[in-house]
Amino acid sequence: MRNVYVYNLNVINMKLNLLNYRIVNVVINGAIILFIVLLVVSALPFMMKSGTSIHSIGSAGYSISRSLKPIDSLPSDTLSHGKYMHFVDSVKQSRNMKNGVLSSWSVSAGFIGAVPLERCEECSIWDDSKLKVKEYFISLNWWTLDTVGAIDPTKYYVKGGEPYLRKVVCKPEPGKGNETFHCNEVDIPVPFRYDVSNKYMLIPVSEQIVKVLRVVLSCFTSLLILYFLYYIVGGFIKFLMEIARGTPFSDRNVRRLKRITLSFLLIPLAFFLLNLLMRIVFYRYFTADIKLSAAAWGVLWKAAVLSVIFAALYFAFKQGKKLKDEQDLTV
Amino acid sequence: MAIIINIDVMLARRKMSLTELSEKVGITMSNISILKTGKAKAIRVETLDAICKALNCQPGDILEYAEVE
Repeated sequence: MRNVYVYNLNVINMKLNLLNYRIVNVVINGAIILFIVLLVVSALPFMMKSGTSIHSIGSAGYSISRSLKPIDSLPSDTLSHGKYMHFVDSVKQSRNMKNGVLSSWSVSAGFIGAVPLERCEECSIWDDSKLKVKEYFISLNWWTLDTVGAIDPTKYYVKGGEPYLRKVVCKPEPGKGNETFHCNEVDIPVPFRYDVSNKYMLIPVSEQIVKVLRVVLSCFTSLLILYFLYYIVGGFIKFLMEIARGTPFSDRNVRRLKRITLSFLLIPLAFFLLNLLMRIVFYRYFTADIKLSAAAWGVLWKAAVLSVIFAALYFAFKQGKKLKDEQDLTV
Repeated sequence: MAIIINIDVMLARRKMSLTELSEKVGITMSNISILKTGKAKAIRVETLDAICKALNCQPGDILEYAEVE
């Protein structure tokens, strides 16, 4: 009985020892810190509420009044199919020009980019650029517009150089509680600009900032690509080559696996946290209509899965090396 | 490690070289060197048996425990 008790204690000790591994602690602590940061950022008090959301209407009745002029011209019902398609295409091109199109090369590094745009109210992309207004922006690639509206999707558009959101705002009808809602189409001016085709947020800045940012981001992206190619891809290839050579459990292989694990863990996490920091830095441009895009989460969870896989390999090879050293130094 | 393997003393007493010892015991010179320099993490009982047979000594003659502070 005493032997069984001692055996159980030893098993528990082994399990507790596993939990003391430093990298496991780092991963768990990192996840906790990230969770707390996300909670704090989402509860920050600079969100402007604009009307009732679709969730609170539910199955209640509603009436809607559309008193605003359409954002763009609507096609006539009598147009032939060919003319209809041509009309729709020209309206789309015109809307793109009014919202802004890329005027020169832009640079992007994950969550942030530098974007120069040009726009005009009544011209096309083939017209002289002197007619167009040049504007410069920082793009926050992982922040997007929440287009889910109460009844119709929220639309972004620029008019006279000023950005607006057209949305349907519903309020409960007086005296009827939450049973009936009256909805209105409203145009809400917003402080941010938005890239409709790429679906990311734009922050207006000066030309100088965009020029500096383009150089900085180009250098940073190049370095990151070189690091990825040499240490991650190259490191993994060298790891496989050492296994093929018959020396899998070596110091170099263990170090390579550790470097790959930490790269997949820390680099995307740093990008994610810096992206959240952008929300604090540019808080004046954020409204309740801006949300974190799926791309941000996609990068994070994919990297996390790879990190876990390489972490498992690292621990296995580390243990293998330890056993090999013991075997090599056993006479 | 606190365990010291004193092969040199016994080799001197028996007037034997390291190469002769490695041939008699049947292990490589590198392994003998590992033993001699104190880098060994473990020694097989059959190796100890072979060394003691070759040097005609007791295990206690070549193994010593000296606590490291």
